[in-house]
Amino acid sequence: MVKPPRPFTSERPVAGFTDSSETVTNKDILNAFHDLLANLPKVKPPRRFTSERTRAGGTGAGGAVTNNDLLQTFNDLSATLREMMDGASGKDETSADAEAESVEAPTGRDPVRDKVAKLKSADPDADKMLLARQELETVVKSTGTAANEIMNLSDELLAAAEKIRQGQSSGEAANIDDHLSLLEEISTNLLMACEFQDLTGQRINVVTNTLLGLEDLIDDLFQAMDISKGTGKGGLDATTADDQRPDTDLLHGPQDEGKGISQDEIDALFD
Amino acid sequence: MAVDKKMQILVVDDYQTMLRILTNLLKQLGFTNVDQAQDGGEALSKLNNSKIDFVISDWNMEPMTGIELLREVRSSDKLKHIPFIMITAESKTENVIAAKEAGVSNYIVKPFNAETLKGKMESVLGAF
Repeated sequence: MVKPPRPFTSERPVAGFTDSSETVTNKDILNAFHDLLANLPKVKPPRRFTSERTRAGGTGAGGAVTNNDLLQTFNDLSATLREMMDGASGKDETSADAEAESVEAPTGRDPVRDKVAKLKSADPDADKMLLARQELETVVKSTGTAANEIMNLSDELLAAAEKIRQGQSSGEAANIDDHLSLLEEISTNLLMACEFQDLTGQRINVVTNTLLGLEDLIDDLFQAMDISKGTGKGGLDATTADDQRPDTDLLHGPQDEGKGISQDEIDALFD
Repeated sequence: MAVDKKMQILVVDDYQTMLRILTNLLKQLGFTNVDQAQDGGEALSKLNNSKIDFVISDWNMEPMTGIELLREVRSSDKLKHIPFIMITAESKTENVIAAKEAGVSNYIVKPFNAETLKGKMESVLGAF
């Protein structure tokens, strides 16, 4: 956004009209252009006007400001404004300036760039993609731990059942209460082992919410770039782009119920 | 002929949980000699260096997949006769057809149950 320029020379004479008849002269117009220049936001130094050297006078005879001087000044001003709007980095921009520009807040000069920049966190440790991946890795880890715990308890159940069977076959007096207490304890522990679902469910919700936020940002980007129809390959990626294994086209991952072939349909292929 | 429950079975999967489930299920079915491998390459090494009588393998493993392992087994004079069941989450028809063409003995799609595992093993070994 360019600040509104202060009133032009033409709205109020700076030092009076240059012509005693109070007619607007070329010099008045030239001065107006220079006033406009003075009011432009100094994001970077504007190109030096060709006509700045003519501030004290034009290129015409006796220093008169010619129409050509005005046209040249107008063209210079136009070019400068265009450069500023494009946000182009000039040849004289230092690498430090370029670095600073890459992490600074939205400039307003390039709406698409500003939207893309929002996808990248200012703090690398807080990057959404990284954190979402870490959440899912934690889910895999904790479901693995829970599965092991449940299998351990399953082993204990089998052992308890075997103990009861052996007691029966050896004719020992059945200590039913002890066996039942053990089974109840294992049952309770099995129940508690299932609490992983609460925490993993919450973590997955966090990832889902993060994806929704990213989806909104990307939708904004599509709108800003006027993209209504995509050309990308849809669907989830069962493999990574650099997967070197043969037959990766056959790797689809687990399918939702009803989407993949059933065991009965598989059995029919083997009959 | 009665099924020899002392046969050496090799279960192949990159998930420890699944290896443990399969090993426990097989033990419950009476098969006590169960070895494990975590990918096709490790499995192939065990197949070439020890006597394995039956293979139960996942498909999606790295670096060697189950179907690559199957192809290696079927192309080896020493190993090609070994029964090979695939247990996998890959449930597209093209997967089953590819596995069949590669010489799989039977195909189980995850999630599965103990009864299905028993049934498919019996289809290969005979009832037990």
